[in-house]
Amino acid sequence: MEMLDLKFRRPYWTETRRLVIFILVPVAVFVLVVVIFMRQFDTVSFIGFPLGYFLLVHGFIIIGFAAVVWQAASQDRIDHRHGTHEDV
Amino acid sequence: MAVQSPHRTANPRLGIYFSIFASIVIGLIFFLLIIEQLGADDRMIGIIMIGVPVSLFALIAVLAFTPDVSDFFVVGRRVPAFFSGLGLAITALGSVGTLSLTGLLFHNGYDAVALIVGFMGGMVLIGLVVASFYRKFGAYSVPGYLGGRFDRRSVRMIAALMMIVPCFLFLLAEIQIGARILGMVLERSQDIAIISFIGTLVFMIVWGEMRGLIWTNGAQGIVAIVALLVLPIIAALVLTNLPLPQITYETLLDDLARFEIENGISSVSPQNQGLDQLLDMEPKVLQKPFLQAMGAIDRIDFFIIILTIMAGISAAPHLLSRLSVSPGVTENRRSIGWACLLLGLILLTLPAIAVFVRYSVFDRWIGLAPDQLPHILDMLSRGGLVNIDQQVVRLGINDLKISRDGALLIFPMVLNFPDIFTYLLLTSLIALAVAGAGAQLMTLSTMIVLDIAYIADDVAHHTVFQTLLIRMMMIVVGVLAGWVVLNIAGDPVQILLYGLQISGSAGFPILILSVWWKRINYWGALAAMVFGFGVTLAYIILIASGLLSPVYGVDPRLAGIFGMPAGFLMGMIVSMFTPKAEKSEIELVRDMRIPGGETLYDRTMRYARLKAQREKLPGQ
Repeated sequence: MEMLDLKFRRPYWTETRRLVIFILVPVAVFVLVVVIFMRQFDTVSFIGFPLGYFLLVHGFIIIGFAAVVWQAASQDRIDHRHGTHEDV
Repeated sequence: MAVQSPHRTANPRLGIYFSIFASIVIGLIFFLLIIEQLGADDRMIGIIMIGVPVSLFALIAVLAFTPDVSDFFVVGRRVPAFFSGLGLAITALGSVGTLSLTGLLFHNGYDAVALIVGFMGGMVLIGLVVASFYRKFGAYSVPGYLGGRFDRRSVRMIAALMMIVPCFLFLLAEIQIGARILGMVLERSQDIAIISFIGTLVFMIVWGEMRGLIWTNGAQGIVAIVALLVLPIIAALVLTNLPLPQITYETLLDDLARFEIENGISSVSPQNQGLDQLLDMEPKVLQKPFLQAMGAIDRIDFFIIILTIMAGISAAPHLLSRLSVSPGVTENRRSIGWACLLLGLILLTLPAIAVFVRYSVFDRWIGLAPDQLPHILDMLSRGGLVNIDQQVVRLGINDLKISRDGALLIFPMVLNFPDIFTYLLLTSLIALAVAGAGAQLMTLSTMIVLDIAYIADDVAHHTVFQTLLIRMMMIVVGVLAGWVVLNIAGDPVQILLYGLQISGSAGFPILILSVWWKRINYWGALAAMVFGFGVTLAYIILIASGLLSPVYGVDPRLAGIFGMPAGFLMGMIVSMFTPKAEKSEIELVRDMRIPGGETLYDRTMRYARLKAQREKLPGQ
């Protein structure tokens, strides 16, 4: 594949970086908030679990999985939009 | 123009082969279930249950023999997403993660959730910030990537010297668990168990290195999933009437809390002794209510555990080096998706197992006479994993001491499942131990040969001779690790924690900076690694020797929390005060950030090959 011109690469990288920040920051904030306010969350019960516990175990695993899948799908879309995808 | 694709296609019959393997395992379980009901000898059943899958792993390993260099290091870059994801998931957890994490959840309940979040977060972080770029580079090892990225052999050498430490620690931890379980089943002494475990391990990995590892991991993953996901489903049906253990264990939580109050288990508070209370591995009485938060550790430690495990997993050399086996960047992203799904499922199930065991111990075992307990429990007593007072008439909560590593193993016993399920669980743990230790052994010997011994040669010129050297190095490293385990016994979880701290602080800052910050140069890279590694190691050593009292009460097993920021900070500061990176380096980063195009490491190897050929030509 021919080298992409710099002026095409820059918007591609901006978009890529924005996507990762857009996903990573909420996930990090989520963990931080749940750990800090764990006691307050735990006073609420959600389908039988204390809410803080539920958010950390089930919530984080589901959110983490969703984050990875979402990032992979969006990044593929970005790759194709900028013509930086693999050719096979 | 006809162009031969650089990507070889995967074997289309792969799915069929592994379906056959899965059918054999499931068939074997049913067969032995029948035999057991007919009154066959317990020990024979155990040995068949463990022997058949392990011999099949060995068969796959032998069939994976390859003389091809690319096959040897990266399976020819053609592994479908599911299989590399499965391998990643079970290697990330390993037998230490599975066995001890369940035990930690069993004893500490809520507080051990920090480890779950840490393991899962590490895998998520690999997917979000490292995987695509690492795969585009396509190096055979993490030091190989760093050396190529900064175009300096010294970076490669130093990175390898540092990464050897956590890898070796992980290897020791896995060997201990594997040997312990093997010793229990074979009813042999620990020494013989260690030697036979190392023998099995080296045999499985020496034929085809990465190729053997990936395909045996496929089979090991199937056994692990059958044991760790299917057994809890049966238990959930028995205990909660719904086959969804990950959710339904909430119905037991109220009863569990009632049992805990009846048996006088009341809230405990952290006694300011770092992680000792959390990690205690001796057989002990249940002390802490399951749902009490912050009973064994305080909130700061909880958070630091999450952070350091996350960083440690996402920079673990044995996980990153397997990212290169995917056919491409897109496929690699998919494989991380699979890894997150499978790891997440296992991590969701472990707390369910812990609750089932805890609930059933109260519900079924307390109040029994000691001789009414299942016969197979003797195996764990002999292994020192449970300690039951035989003198009492009726078992009370204080007569039943269960160790951290015994909690998962009593799961089938406490529910009165047939003995075969206990052996199935043991088989899956041996499979996980072989998978985990095999990955470490491979990474270690690859790093020693490619990144340290061959540093003077052309860095990207890989030959069949090197693969022979790596095979020999595996035997050497295996024997060395065996010798260490024979002489020094430590707590596997603590060893794992130390390893994660070191890999997180030496590897994580430089991995992130090398992708996401173009300004970082050679000096910055060195500073990030040396300071990250140095600060962590210094903290551990200073605390151990008593020269320093814990800073802010941070346990030395969480030393990465100092090393990681030190690595980031020094990497940035030193880069800012030294000349900018060369143009070729920046061009390399730009290339690395784009999925399309030739894999960079393959390109370097092609150049090296051309150069070697040109030198051979006469008259040049």
